[in-house]
Amino acid sequence: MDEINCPLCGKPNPVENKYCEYCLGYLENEESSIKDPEFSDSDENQDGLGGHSSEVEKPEWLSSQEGSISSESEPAQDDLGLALPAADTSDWMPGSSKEEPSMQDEDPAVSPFVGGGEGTESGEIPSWLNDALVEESSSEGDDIEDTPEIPREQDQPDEQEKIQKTPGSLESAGPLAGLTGLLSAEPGVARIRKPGAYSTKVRISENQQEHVELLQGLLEDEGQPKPLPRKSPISQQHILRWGIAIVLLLAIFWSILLPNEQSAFPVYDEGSAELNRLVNQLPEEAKILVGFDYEPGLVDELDSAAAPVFNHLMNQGAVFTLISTSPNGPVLAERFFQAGKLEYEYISGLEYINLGYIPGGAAGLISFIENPSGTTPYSIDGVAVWETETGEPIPPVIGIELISDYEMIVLLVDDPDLARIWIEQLSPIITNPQTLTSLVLITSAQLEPVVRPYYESLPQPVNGLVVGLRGGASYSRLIGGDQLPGKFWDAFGMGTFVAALLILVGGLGYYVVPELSRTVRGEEKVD
Amino acid sequence: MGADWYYSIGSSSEVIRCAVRNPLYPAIAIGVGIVVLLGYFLQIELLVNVRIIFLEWATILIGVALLIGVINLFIVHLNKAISDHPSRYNSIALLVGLILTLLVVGWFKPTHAVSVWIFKYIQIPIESSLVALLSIVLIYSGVRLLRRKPNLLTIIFLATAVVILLVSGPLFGIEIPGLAALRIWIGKVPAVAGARGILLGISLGIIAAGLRILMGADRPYGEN
Amino acid sequence: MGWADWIGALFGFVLTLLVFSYLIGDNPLFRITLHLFIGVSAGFAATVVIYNVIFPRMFAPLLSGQGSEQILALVPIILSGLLVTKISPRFAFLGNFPMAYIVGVSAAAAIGGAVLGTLIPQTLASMNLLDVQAIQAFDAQLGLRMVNGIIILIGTLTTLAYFQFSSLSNLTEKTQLQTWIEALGQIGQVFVAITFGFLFAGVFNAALTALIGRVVFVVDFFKSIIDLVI
Repeated sequence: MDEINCPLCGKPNPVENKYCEYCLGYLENEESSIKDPEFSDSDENQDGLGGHSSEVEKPEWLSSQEGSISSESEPAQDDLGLALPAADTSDWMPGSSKEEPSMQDEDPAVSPFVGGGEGTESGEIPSWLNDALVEESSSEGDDIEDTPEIPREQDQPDEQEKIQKTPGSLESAGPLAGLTGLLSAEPGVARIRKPGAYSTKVRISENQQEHVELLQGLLEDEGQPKPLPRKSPISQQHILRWGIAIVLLLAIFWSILLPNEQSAFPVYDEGSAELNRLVNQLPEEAKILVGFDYEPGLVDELDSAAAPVFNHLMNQGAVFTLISTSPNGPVLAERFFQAGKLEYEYISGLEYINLGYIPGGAAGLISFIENPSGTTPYSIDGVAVWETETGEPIPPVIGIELISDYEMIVLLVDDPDLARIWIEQLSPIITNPQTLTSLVLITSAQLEPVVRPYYESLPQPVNGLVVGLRGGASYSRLIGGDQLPGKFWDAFGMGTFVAALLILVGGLGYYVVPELSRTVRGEEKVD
Repeated sequence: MGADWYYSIGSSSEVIRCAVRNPLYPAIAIGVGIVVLLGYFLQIELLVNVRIIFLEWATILIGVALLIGVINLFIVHLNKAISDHPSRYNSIALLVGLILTLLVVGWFKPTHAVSVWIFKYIQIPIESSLVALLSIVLIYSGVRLLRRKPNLLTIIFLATAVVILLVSGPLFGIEIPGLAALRIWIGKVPAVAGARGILLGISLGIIAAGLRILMGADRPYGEN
Repeated sequence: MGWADWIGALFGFVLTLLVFSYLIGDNPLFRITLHLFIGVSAGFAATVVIYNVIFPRMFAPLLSGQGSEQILALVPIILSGLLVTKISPRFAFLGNFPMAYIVGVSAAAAIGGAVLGTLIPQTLASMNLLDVQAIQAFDAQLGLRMVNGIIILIGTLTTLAYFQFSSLSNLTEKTQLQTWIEALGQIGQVFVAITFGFLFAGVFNAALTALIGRVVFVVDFFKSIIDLVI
């Protein structure tokens, strides 16, 4: 039986078949397809089954392909990477190495794509094909021109593509391979081409470029550490502080070193006068409870304020019980009685007893108020106070069972919270009409606003008040003699005057000078 | 007797730990507090006696707490002194002062002449000098107060301070008429009014804070 | 002045100068002096506590007390032992028991004092400002006292109003009461400013006295040196 090889798959088919049994390719007598290179029947080509145009002249590229196919058994690929028909199909190609006797005998191996006749052996592109390719390239060129980003030289359609796209051309790839007369897809969609290259350069104007460079410079500077400005070791604040210190110290030194007639003590101070009256009313050997609750930093002020009062009390023959709710209190108390600041020398255990420190603040005070002997059974020196070997308490605490047994409670204090705690805990006892105990405060000047509401209230939980150096000076004047405050009084007056002057002058200077300079600058601008 | 008890919710892979506060601590605080507080208002003998005992124990414990604070101070600065800490010389100075004082005052007792000597020539000079520096700082701050544009309150504040300062001392024997009376009036009327308002506010705050503790709402005794 | 006092004065002089060196600027010598002061102060506090509290009130009743006294003395010893565990982070929870005790007692003492010592007496005092009988018993100048009493009363109330800090429940609108309280608070600020000005002067007076004391100390020290040399 005569057989014809399928031009596409190369498989033998009976001659009488029109279409290949394997790939449905259009089978055609090679001789007739080769001999009629001008065959370009669109109908036949467009039936979709026949595909190959055997009448087409064999183009140059095809001749070159034949050579490669004849030499190689592997299927070659076109420029687009599409696999050319397999080596099996090389049978129909001229010069094919694969021997197909029937075909070769009958027909020289000539591709159905190529036509016989003129020009095929030389590889020339037939005129019709060339026209079609030129048209297509011109249309593609238009596309390229419309999109300026796409360089034209990169997008030359392949010759095979040109063949594919010409009417009646054979489809060589895809599921419709081998068919002719197919409608071509939109060039932009169907045609596979390399993606166009786009320029990354931003099109900006010169002005914008300058702004970009400026911004870039700013951002780069931001990342770089800048050296800190060198701080001057001596600033305006230092000079002001030193100036104040020098002026104040000079004023105080001047008052102390140069012999001046001592200024008179203040004439009348209500709190001091009231305390003086209370002390004058005390009986002989009155039992006085003294609380030492101030810090060592204010010894000068509290000593100056308390010395006249204690001299007066000692003059009345009073005996003292010393306690404290701060750890420094017992030593302060001992120092006060031993330091020679008082006119009388009292003996510990006989005329005064130091019960020491009561921890706990308000809780400790309540404990002492409710149970003095249980809270402080021993003095700071370890002496049994409330029950000696003889069974009797020591003289300063004879007859004392409750705190209300004391004739007077004197509190030396510099802290507002401590003063408040003492007054609060003693207030029910002091304001009780049945008790005769009075509470007097000898305080630092910084406490006056805090304790005065208690002193000014009715009923009065605080019966007497000596405030700071001024109060001590006033009390000194009442009992006669200059006492300890005399040492400080003149310097104190000078210091307070200088301070008031510095605050007024300096403060006004700080405010007025900048205002004036602002006003002057404003006038200059207006001019 | 841990601070917190935990119980787990959920499977072993997802355990939610919930802290259940120990009720023993607030019970103690509230119980003891109520006994002490009631003693202010009720004069029942048993209550008074129990209150006295509770207060004595509290004073002892607070004294021990102060001692523990000193021990902690010692430990902290000892660690600094033996390490390469930059302020180790300060810690050494502290430790020298602490140990010498403990030894001397502990041996001679706090009211002995030697102990009073240390107090008089070391503690008092340093602390007095620190307070003395305050006078310069206060003038400096008073001067700078007018640096910014002053308002009415700043002027009232400074004017009051200046009047009190001028009248506090002898002022070279000069008597400015009315200034002394003004100072007395300021001290007895507006200053008392402001201070009384502040004192009332403080007392209300103390009452509120104390009641919160006695109700168990606040638990500042180291419970997490 | 004995040699002990003279040496002590020398110490005091040097320490005074070291502290005043702070005026020039913060320096290491000032810091060392400060730490020395803290150490000495802590040493004194510890010694006073040991002599005044630990020995006589904890161990003395245990050693020399009678039956019930010894049992009662055990309780603060046990509590103190628990309190010591506060030093150790691992066992600090054991110290919560005595801490709760201390907090409860302190809170109750503070409440009692605040109510009976400040709140009620100061409120009564504010009311008695306009009590004619009380004023007449105290002072003959009735009219002036009444005026002063009114000013004190207004000042007290407005100062209290000034220290009222509360958030608005309705952020867009204030109630009339809140507006009134704010207006009163503005007046209270004046009284607060006067009080703080008074306080400022008082603090300065106290500090000035300390400064004068230091200057007197330095002058006396140099006088003693001169006396010694001469």
